[in-house]
Amino acid sequence: MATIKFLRSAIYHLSASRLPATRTVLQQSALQTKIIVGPACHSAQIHTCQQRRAEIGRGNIHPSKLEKSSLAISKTLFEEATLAEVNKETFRKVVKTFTEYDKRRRGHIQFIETALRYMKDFRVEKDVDAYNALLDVFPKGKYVPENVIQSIYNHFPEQQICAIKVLQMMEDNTVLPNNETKDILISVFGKRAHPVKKYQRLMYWFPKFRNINPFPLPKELPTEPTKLSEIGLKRIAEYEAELKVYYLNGTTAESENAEFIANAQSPEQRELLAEHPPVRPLYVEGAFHLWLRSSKLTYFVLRGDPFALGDEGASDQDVPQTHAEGPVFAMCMTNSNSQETLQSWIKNLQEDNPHLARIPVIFNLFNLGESRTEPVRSLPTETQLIGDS
Amino acid sequence: MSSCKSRLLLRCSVRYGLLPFISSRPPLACQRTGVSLLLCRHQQSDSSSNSSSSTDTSKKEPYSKFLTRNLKMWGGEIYDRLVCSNLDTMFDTTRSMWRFAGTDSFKDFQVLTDQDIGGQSWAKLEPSRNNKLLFHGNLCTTVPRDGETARSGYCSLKSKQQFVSFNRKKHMDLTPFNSLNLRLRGDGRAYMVNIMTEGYFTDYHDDIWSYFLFTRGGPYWQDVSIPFSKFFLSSRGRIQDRQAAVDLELVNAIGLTMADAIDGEFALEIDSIAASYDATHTEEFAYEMYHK
Repeated sequence: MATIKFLRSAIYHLSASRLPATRTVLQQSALQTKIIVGPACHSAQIHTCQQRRAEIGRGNIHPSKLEKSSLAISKTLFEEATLAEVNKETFRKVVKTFTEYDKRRRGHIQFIETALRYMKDFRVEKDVDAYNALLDVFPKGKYVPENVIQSIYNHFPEQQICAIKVLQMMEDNTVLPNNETKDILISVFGKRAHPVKKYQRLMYWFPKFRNINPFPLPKELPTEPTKLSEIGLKRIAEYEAELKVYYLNGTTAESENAEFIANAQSPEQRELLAEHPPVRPLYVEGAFHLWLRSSKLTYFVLRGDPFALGDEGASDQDVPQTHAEGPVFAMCMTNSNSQETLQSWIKNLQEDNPHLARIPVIFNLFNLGESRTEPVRSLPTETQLIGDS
Repeated sequence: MSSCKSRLLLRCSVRYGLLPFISSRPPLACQRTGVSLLLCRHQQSDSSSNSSSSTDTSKKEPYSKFLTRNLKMWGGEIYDRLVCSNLDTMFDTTRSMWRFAGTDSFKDFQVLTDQDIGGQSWAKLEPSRNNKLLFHGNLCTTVPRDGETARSGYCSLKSKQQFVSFNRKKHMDLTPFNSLNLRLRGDGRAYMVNIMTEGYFTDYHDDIWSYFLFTRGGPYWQDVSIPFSKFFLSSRGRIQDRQAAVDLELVNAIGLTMADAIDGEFALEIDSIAASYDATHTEEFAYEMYHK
């Protein structure tokens, strides 16, 4: 197997060097090689210089001659920068400081791996320029293979693995590389290196899957819970559903930590609810969860009982009917999820649906994960009737 | 009798790629069928997964019993093939593979989580409140502290490998169809649908064809239809540069993966899984194959 691989890459190198220079990016990506991914990204040992830390407090931040030649500089640099201000500019400054320390850029792999860890702290993990600045730390031209043998064997493997880690981090944070990234990688590692291949793979697959989600969300999700639940309800409710936000306990839209109930109900649902026979109870079911990217919302559903309207004979056929679900009449999202809030939701719903006051409402609240011992159709232990009885 | 003969002929010609609409498939797939029928390469670990007998797994089955049972199964298979007992469904444009109702209907499925590699996610397979399959759990991306694992956090649902007589693997043949249909109700998170096929060479054993499954969330059911042409090839978690369309003749298992790198609970309720033929979909493979 190894021989085949060897021969294949040898032939590839020879053939590739003879090809015209105008090969497209995608043609290159068609050739498959196995990426050698190193150990976990936290494997790099990072040293801290206690003496230097102590000097920061005294205002002496210029590196000594000894420190300039030592490998233990990278973490200290970032620690210092976090003391002042964390933004894109300081991150760039740290990278610049490192590149100017030493002409030979000693310890740059260690520096890049440390920088990858600090990216989140500097809030630059979504910023392609920051990644480009990091990749720019690699010295140019030094790692480009010059002959067939170097090309077949992994030329400067540690450096290539480090660059792949940077690209992997871009992938994890869904950052699309740009042309600058390509130019840097090619000038550092040459056209056929593994980081360049990784770049090509990213450029091939990322745009392919970028817009395939049929339920798209805005790029930046709002932080206010009312706005968030509005997006959530619009996603799960019918197209015609009307959204209404009720504020509770005297809070308003402007007040902080406003207690609210966001309600979604379509005109059709309102009509259905108006025809609901008062002898049949309605159920408030929940809590169900809805994820909008990484934020979890909770919603409740007002349902009818599972039997169809005016279909008396249907209740005799037991098997398929017992597990059916009733029609949905309304949905809501609140910030407190307590039964009291849900009761006031029903009260607020009665403004638009006067018929609801005559129907008993049963609160069927559960956690999805917990195991049930009761059969599916039994009434919940905690029942509460609202409306005139 | 003559009609039976023609059925057999048709069946064979479909199976071995003699009919024109199948003949565009790669020739390797046809060879593989023949080989895997002849060789019994796979040892079955426990005899209880054979549906015909419910023997105690802890007790070793005597050889005579094993032989009798398997011969009986084999006879049944030959009889099935001769009389073409699936003739009435053979030309259907839709095949319902699983329709879930109650615990018995999902005994074909198993759950795998990253606890196998030391992670902390968990997932369960339970009947939901209206008796469908509920795949729910908690995803945790905390990396196990073993010093070599770099990333963690997956829960997957996979149909079990089925076996026919003499411990041969049973494959699903989905060549008449071109899309996978799922009826489900999710929680807004993204899942992944996987198709595992039988690979002849050892290198192909980890090949998985996958595509994304986006759920809407909410109380309404969602009908998802994914064309098989959209499935892309990955091996050991890496998308391959050299892509190929999924080999639908030898499908071992179909599964779902939850691994969207967001910590928290997830729940997916599945009503049915089916394969269907959509005549309007003519795409053979959605991704470019430059090496050809």
